[in-house]
Amino acid sequence: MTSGTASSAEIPRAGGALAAYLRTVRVGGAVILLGLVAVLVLLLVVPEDADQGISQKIFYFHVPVALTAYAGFALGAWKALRLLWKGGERYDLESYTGVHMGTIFGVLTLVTGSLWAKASWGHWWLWSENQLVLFLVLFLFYCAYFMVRFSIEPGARRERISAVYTLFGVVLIPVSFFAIRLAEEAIHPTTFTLDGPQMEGSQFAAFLVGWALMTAVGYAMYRIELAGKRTDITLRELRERS
Amino acid sequence: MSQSGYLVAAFAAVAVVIVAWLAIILAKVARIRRDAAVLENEASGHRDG
Repeated sequence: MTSGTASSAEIPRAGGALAAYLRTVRVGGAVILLGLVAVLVLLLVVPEDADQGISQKIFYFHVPVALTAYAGFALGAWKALRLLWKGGERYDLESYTGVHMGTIFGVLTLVTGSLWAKASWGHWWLWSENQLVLFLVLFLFYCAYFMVRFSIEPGARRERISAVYTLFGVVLIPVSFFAIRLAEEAIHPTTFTLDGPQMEGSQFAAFLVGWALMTAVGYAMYRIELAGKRTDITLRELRERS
Repeated sequence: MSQSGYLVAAFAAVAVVIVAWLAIILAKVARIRRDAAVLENEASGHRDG
């Protein structure tokens, strides 16, 4: 690391990083809040399901939340692959942030899924359901990512080990996704089959809107967290030199 | 709990977790702002001194 003093010439760098971060927080925060309000409006507008009743509306954000969790883990794995392929500290940070987002949405998937299960099946959790158990395995695998990562000193070694761990976990995503389709007996509904979505056109349209909104919320969270970490690093570097 | 109760609870869980995350981010923004102000003060001290 360069030794010396944070000169007045470097202050615009700190100011620029801070301004860019504040801009990302403002825009991203607005996207997140508007996204949540839009999902709420969607729930009020969409018609009630004839079979399951009002609790079926959980579908419009439970599945998008789960898909956003998968997307977070997949993004983390893609960035991990880029790190191993090309090298570069930025990919480590991006991979870590992707996994963090996946984990947050993973918690929400388990909570909303459990509530929906109780409303529909009368059980909070069923260990006999492959889809549920495999998602839990995927979630716990990425929870352990943080233990692995923070048990190693920062540096190239930690970046490589974290990247390899992230890539191992991504294999579980298709396994988790297809588990329900491969299981012969399952209580968990299979909404999307090779014949297309098993729902009415209006329900499918509402699902797509919910998915787009949740993806936008997840992506805004990813950008805000990444910008915060980058600003932190910039300021730390300047502080160490002062 | 009623059927609508489960729906409300599930949506509230999503909203509460995301808004709590946003609150943590705002606390971080405040800390980063303080750090940047300290750096600026130090730099202006160097300029003046």
